[in-house]
Amino acid sequence: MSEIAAQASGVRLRASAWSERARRVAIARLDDLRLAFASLSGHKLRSGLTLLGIVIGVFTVVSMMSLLHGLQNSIDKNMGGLGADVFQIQKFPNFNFGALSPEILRRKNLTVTQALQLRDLLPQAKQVGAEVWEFGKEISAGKQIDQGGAVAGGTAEFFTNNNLPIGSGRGFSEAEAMSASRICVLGAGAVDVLFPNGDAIGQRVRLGRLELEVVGSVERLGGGPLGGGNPDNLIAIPITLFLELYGTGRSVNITVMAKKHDEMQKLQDLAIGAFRRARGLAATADNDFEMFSNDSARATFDQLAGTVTAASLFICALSLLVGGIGVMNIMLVAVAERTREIGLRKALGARRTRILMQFVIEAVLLACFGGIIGVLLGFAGTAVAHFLTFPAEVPAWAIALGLGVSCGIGLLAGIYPAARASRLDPAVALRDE
Amino acid sequence: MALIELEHIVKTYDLGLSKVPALRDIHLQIDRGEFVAIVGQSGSGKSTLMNIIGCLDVPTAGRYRLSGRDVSELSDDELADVRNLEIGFVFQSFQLMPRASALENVELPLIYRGVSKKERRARAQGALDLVGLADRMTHKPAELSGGQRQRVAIARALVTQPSLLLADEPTGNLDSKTGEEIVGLFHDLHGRKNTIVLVTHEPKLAARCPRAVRLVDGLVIADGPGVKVAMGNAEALGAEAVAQLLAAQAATVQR
Ligand SMILES: Nc1ncnc2c1ncn2[C@@H]1O[C@H](COP(=O)(O)OP(=O)(O)OP(=O)(O)O)[C@@H](O)[C@H]1O
Ligand SMILES: [Mg+2]
Repeated sequence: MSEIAAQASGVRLRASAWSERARRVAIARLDDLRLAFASLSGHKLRSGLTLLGIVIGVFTVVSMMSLLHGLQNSIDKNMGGLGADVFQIQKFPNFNFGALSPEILRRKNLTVTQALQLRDLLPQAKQVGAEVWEFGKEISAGKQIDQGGAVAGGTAEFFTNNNLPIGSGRGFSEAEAMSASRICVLGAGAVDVLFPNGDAIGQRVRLGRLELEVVGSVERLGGGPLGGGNPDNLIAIPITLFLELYGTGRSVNITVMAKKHDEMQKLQDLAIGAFRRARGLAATADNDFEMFSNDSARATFDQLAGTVTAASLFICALSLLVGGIGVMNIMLVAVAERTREIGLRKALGARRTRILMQFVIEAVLLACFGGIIGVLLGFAGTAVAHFLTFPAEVPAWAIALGLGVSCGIGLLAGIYPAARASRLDPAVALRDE
Repeated sequence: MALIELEHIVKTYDLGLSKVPALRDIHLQIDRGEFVAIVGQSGSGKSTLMNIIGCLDVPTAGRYRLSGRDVSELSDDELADVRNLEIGFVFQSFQLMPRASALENVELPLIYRGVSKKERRARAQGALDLVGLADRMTHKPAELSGGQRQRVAIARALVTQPSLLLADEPTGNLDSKTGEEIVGLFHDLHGRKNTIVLVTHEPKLAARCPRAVRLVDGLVIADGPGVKVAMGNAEALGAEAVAQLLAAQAATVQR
C-alpha cells in the first residue's frame, strides 16, 4: 500500500517537475519572441532591406505557381474543345517553339475527301468528322449584331466530337453537311445577342453574304477566354457551306472518336496507318500530319509547365540564397552591435542556449516576415492577373512552400551568428566599447 | 567552510606585445555573512578581482572555490546558473540596457530564472522601490541622472535576492548623502546575513565596514578591520586630513 503510494507520489513528482520545465520553456520562448519583435521593430528599414531577397524569391514562386495552376485548371476545363475519347488530325503541330521547319510548311492541306476516305479505312472508330474554323466574324439577325463570333464548318459529327451538346433544336444530318444546306446551329452566347427576347429556332441570321436558318442551339458552356475566346459565341454551319463561303484552299481538321477510352491509343496507331494511305504517302516518307488529343495536349502543357516551374524555382532558390546571406549578414551585424548586451545577459545568468535561441528566433522571425510579405505580394499579383482576365489561382502548396522555405532559410542563416553570440565571454563582451 | 576561497590567484592580460599582470598572487578567504570592502588605487586590480569572484572571468592561474566548488571545473552553463542564482553584481560602469526602461533593466536577471512576466514586474518594482526609484520606473537610462542609473544597477543586483552581493564602486557617482544611503542599504542587507563585497575609493565608507582588503599592484597588502585598513589606505593616498580624522575615530573605538 505504502509502496504504491510512494510510487504514485513519485510519478506525480516527476509529472509536476516535467510540467514545471514545460512552463519555464514556454515562458522563455515567449520572452525570446518578445525580444526578437522589439529588436526587429527597432530597425525597421534595415530589416526591410534585408528581406528583399526573400520577398522576391517567395513572390516569384507564389505568383508563377498561381499562373501555372490557373492555366492548368482552365486548360483542363476547356481544352481545345475536344471530347475525352476524341483525337484530331491536323496539318500543323499545336504547340511549337520557334519557326516551323520548311518540311512542315510544305505539307499539303487535309481535305474533306481525305476525311471521308479515313472513315472507310478506319472502321474501328466510332465516328470520323471534319471541321474548319474562322474567327472574328460578324453575325446579324435584323438589327441585332454579334461581333467576333467563331464560325465552324463541320460534318454531322462536329457537335459530339467537340463536346458541344445540342440544347434545343437539332444538329445537321450527314446529307445537310455535304450539300451546303443553308442552316446553322448557334452557341448560347450568340443566341443571347441575336435573339434577346425569344426563341432562335426557325429564325434567320445573316453570315457574310448568306442568310441561314437556325435549326438548333448549343448548351451554355461558360468558361474563360482561353482556348479561343468565349466558347458560347459560336455559329456552326455545314462544312461544305463553309468552304463555299470562305474558300476551299484551306486545310480541314479531322476528328476521330474511339468507341471506348481504352482504345484511344490503339486507334491512334491504326489511324496513322490508315491516314497515310488516304494521303498516298510512300512507305519511306514521314507523316505529313499531326495528331493530338486532350491527353497529348495535356502532356505538352505539362512539359511546358515543368520547364516554367523549374525556371521559377531556380530564380526563387537564387533569390532565397541571396536573401539568406542577407539575413546572416544582418544577424552578424546585430551580434557585433549587441556584444555588450550579450555580455550583460550572460553576466546576469543567461545560458548559452538562451542566447542562441534569442538570435535564432530573431532570424527566423525576420525571414518568416519576408515570406509573409512575399506571399501577400503573390496574392496581389494574382489579383492583378485576374483583373487582366488571366486565370491565376494561388495553390495552397505554394503558400506552404514559400513560408516553410523562408523560415528554414532564417533558421539556417541564424544559427551561425547565434552560435557566435552564445559563445561570447561575458567579461570580454562587457568591456566592448 | 569559507564562501570564497582564493589561492594563488594570478590574472595576466595578454596584449600580444606585452603582458599586464593585473593580479599577481592573491590569497583571500571570505566567510558567509561577511561585509568586506576592497580598497586600492586606480589600476590596482580591484575590478579584475571582482570579476573573478563574480565568475565573470577566470584566473590565469590559481584556484578559486565558491561554496567549496572549484569554479574552474564548472561548465559555461553552470557558471551562468551560479551568476544568476547566487550572485548579484553591481558593475562599475552600470551596464544598463539603453533601450530598456528602468523596470525592464531590473527584470532582466529574473528572465533567466524562468519567473513569469507578472511576478517579474512585481519583484522589479519592489527592488526599485527599495533604492528609492519608485517614481522613475518607466524612464530609460538616458533619462536618468548618473546616481539614478547607479541605483537602477543596484536594484538589478538586489532583485534576485542573491546570497553574495558584489558591488564595484557602487557609490562612485553619488553625492555623499546618497552614497551613505546606499551603503546603509548594504549594511541592512548585511544585517540579514548576506555576504557583501564592495569596492570603494572612499576611506570613510571602507572604515564603516567590518573588514577591508587593500590591493596594491595586484597584491593584497593589508587585510583587517575596515577602520585600520582604510586609514592606511588614506595615508597612502596622501589624504592626511582624512587619515587624521580616521585615526581619531580609531582611537575612540579603542577607548
Ligand atoms: N581587458 C584588459 N586588457 C588589458 N589590461 C587590462 C584589462 N583589464 C584591466 N587591465 C589592466 O589590469 C589592471 C587592473 O585593472 P582593474 O580594472 O582591475 O583596476 P581597478 O583597480 O578596478 O581600477 P579602477 O579603480 O580605476 O577601477 C590595470 O593595469 C589595467 O590596465
Ligand atoms: Mg575598477
